[in-house]
Amino acid sequence: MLRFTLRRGFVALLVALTVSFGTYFMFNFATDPAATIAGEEADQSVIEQIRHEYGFDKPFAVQYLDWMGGVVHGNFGNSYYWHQPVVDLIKTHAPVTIKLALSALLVTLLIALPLGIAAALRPNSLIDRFALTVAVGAQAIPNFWLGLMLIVLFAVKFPIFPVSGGGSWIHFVLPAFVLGTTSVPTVMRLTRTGLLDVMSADYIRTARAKGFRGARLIFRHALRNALLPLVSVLAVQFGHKLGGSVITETVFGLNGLGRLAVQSIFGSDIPTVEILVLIFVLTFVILTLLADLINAWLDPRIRLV
Amino acid sequence: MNGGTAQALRVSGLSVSIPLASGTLQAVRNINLVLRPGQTLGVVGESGSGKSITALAIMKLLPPAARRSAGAIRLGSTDLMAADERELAMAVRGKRIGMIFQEPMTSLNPVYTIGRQLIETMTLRGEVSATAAEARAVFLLEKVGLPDPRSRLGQYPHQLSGGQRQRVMIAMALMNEPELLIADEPTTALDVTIQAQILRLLADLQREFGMSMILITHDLGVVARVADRVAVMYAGEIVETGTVAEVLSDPRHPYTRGLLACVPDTGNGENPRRLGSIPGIVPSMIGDTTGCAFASRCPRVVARCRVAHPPRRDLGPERSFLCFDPRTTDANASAVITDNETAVPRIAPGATAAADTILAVRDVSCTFRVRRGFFGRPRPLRAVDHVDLDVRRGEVLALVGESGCGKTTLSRIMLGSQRIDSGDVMLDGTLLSALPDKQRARRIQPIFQDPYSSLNPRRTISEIIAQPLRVHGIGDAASRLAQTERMMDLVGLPRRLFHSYPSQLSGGQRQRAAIARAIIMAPDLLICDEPTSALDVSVQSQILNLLLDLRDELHLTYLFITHNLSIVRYLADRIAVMYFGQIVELGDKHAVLENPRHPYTRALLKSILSITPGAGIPDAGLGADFPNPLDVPRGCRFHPRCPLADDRCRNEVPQPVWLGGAMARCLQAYGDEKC
Amino acid sequence: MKPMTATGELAQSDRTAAVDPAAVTEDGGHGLSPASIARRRARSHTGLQIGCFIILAIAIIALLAPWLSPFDPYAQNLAERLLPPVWVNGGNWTHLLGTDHLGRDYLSRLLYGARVSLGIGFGAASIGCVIGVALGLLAGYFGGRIDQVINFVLNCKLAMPHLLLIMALVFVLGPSVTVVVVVIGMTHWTFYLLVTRATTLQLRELDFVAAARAIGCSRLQIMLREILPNVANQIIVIFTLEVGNAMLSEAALSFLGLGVPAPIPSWGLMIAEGKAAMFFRPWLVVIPGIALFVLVIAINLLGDGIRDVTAPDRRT
Repeated sequence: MLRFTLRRGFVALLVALTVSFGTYFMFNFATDPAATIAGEEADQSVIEQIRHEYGFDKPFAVQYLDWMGGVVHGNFGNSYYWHQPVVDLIKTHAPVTIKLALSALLVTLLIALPLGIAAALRPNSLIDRFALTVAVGAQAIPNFWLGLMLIVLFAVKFPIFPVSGGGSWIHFVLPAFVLGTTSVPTVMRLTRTGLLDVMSADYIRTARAKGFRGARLIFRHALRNALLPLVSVLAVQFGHKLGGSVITETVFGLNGLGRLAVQSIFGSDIPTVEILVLIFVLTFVILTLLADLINAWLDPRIRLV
Repeated sequence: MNGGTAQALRVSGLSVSIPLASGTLQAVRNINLVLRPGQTLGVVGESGSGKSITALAIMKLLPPAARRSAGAIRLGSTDLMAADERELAMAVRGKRIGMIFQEPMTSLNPVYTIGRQLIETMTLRGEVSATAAEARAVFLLEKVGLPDPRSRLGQYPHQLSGGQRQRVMIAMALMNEPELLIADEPTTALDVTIQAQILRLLADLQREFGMSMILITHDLGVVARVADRVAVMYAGEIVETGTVAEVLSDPRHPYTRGLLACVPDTGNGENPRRLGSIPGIVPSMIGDTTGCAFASRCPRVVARCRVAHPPRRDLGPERSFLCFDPRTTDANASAVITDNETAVPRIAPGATAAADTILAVRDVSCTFRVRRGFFGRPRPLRAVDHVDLDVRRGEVLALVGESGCGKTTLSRIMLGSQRIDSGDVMLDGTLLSALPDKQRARRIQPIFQDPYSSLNPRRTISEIIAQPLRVHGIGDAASRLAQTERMMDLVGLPRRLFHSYPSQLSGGQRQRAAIARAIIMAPDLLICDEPTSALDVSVQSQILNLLLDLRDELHLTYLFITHNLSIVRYLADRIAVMYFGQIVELGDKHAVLENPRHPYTRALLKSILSITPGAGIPDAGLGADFPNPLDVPRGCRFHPRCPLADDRCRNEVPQPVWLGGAMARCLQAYGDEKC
Repeated sequence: MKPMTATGELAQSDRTAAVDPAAVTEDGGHGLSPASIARRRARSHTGLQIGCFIILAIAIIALLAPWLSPFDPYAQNLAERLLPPVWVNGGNWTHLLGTDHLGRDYLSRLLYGARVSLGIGFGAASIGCVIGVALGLLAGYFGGRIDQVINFVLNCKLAMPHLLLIMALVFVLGPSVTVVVVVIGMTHWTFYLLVTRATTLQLRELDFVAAARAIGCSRLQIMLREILPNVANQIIVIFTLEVGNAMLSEAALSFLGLGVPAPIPSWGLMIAEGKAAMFFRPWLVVIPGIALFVLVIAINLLGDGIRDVTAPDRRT
């Protein structure tokens, strides 16, 4: 178990390093950080001076190692674009994203799980068809457009929810709904097929032969098996919500990490982009590792030899 | 049927139909069953005969789409047809009727402990306390022969072997002291030596608890040994029923006779004639069927068989069969059903001492790295351990062993598709590994066990059979076509299947196609890995006969891998017995079968269930289960299970000993058999 | 994670399909071929038919856009800015769907926009398909080190937030239609990879692959001629779903200003341009959004339909 965790942790670290190096390389290759810092109207000599001061004239690998060394020592650097420490930027933007991601996950679960379970218990029934329709619809709807439509609807017709900003929980209702629906099709379908597969398994027949039926059969014998594959998928979906809320944050004017990332990309703000990439990647790999461990805990076939 | 005594179960007029896309499948058609208290009824039939559906229908555990109708299903004095789902669950399933399923590997819930799954069977209805249930669970686990039962309660299914899981299943079925036990192919998924153990256990427990039992099986040997009465099912009907002795020694229905003729004779002595077989395949029972379902395969078919449903002929109380044929006492009729070709005695070629070696395996070992569990460290598993084996030109060499003994790995080594750690495989004096793939392919071809996976589902039969010619660039399109058609004729595949896909063929037909593909390049050696074990008995004999015919016609050599010793007796010239990665006995068929040297061979031979009614279930005398292949026992690998093992066996590794032309790897082989 | 069970399941489902008496009749050979079973199921699959119909209709519209559209989609007419559609007060029959903020005919832009969506959708999905299927076949068939390396690449890809990755790439390469197609294609291969790899893992254990090896087929022959045809159905299903996803990605990119560059009519861009006026002229956002929604739904219906129609028999 420990061996496994260590091995996975090592791979995770390797993934994080590879991705961050790739990003660093790409941005350094395509943009001129000195010009970014100097601003648009700076002349060539100023840019050259900045280039030297910041060490942009050093070999690329050295620059990256310098930066990495800083990160390891807790020095996350300063933003070229916002002209403040990256740490402060993260601190102000992260809470919004975390709140948004958590509430979106909740929305996903509240819609997808009951629908998926109900659909699996009555295949080809009305509820199954309804669930399928919801899945197809949610998969096809452009989520930025859904966001705009909700804003129009609730700003003009039914002014119940505020249309932008992130002051209180009520600001998160619409964004969470929009972000949450993106995962509904995947989670719903997986719940449905997972439960259907389990219900046709031999051990369910055994349980029925023992006298189990109805809800008892499902809760005592089917659900745990059916939810096993869901754990990994939820981890992936949650990871993507933490990093992938660019659209939602933009549409609803929330100052989260996604929006910060977009602005930093546009501003060629390498230090901020780099730290954000590190955060996103690490969150993702830690979440998937966690999911594997939870699976091992739930499934004795993995846990015990 | 008018038996006066008590009835444990009476099923009258049971029918089950299952709607499918192409029509309604009449899975079970109007069957009647009577079971007396304490009796065992064997229900025998091939796949698709409706025997399992019958069992599920009694419990009302059918798939949701299936429709069941019956005059009555009386369990004691209760009519199960009148009971609703709730009553069935509360009072019948798992309480009055216990059920054991075929697949012990998948029939237990993998995420819960054995203890929980046993105990809940009793506590589920809220009538028994958990402590009482636990005590019963421990008692029963002991009864079914699991050592240290209390610690088993905390184990998960995957920590047990197949045989152990089946024991747990049996204990689970007995938790509530049911009056009726339904066992659906309880030993089919198990090794032969384990099969005998489990059958003994079932028979003993049945006697001890005074239960009635329905034993569903495809194996006439199992029925012969365990059951009191037998019902033979074909295409959803009971075509013949009676006591085991009556039906097996004096079969009346042509199907029963055919089935019996298909089973290789397992008694002592040579088997000179070809196996009988039933031509054709089981018809689909979709839509309305007229006439006798067996008519298309029946040797005694007459015109009215095809238009009218045959009557049930009673031969006495509870002894009847379903046929028009009035010749109920024709003593010669058993010889009627043989292959359409005349029963030619097999020509045993001179494949003995003088014959030259075509393939030589010299001191070959092969190791896999296996990770136990998700977090485990990979460990070496030596699947084949210093094996020497010669295949002689023109012979049928049978390689016998239980699952996990390494016989499939060895066959893949001989096929050249498995890398080896050490040793040499020589084909006619050339290193097999030095031979280019294509040259090797022309000499050695495989035939696999599962005809459902050995043909590419996206190719037509003609493409599959002609594939070797195409890959090797042999001939032009026209000659390939001619050759393909010739092969189809040779293996007995109708030409109209030329453009069919594998999914449109029956299992036997697919195996014929696989054989055609294997022989189209005229190889010398065919490596057959359990080629008939996935097939029904009547089809199995067709394929075995075909293989023998082909050998004589094309001068082939076979390495025939099997776990079924009765097939070996029928078809082998020499036998190699494999255990735990080693050949433990090797020799001429007669030497090995009549005078086995190794205790494992003896146990295997004892485990054969020949069709001898009333002979009882043999005791192979083997302790324990097959050990975990990762933990190689010290000394002789067989000693943990061996009845003869002594201290020497536990410490000393036996070397091959040659005694009278046969090899045995056993320390006890000297004193016991030297004469 | 558990290839063994997966193999077992495949063999199992194969077998149930095979034993299905519907496929084998009295003396064999009269059952239906896989293609004719699919055709028969397709005839009674409403979702598949609706999807097919809509996609065909939109494809024809896109092809015939130069002849169907009443105006040049680039022609600005500042005198007729922000005209409403015909069903809203103030709309007229000349501009059926009204005009945008530069006075361009909305219907014409919508029709031409279909070309962008379809072109980018199919183009990107094809690029992703080639990458993902090739990697999946290699990883699944060879296993070992090759599998580990490909799995590492996959992990790196999955760990990056999807849209951010696309945005960064487009930003670095500079937005143009080609760049958008290539970048979206290069980032939409994970699903192909996962499914191809998993299926290949199962298939390579089956006996027909062993038989091909025993015949002397090369590894490339086995991958392309034995395994690939058996993955094809699943690949087609993923392809359709990825076409939909690529269209949505393009729209999102264009909405954020990093997609198709400005004057080219793209539905995502139209939504972005209409956003400023959406409170008072909601149709500017509603119309292209609905067009996109309908197209993607149709494609997903098609994909689901193909999956249902080609799935092995399953008795319930």
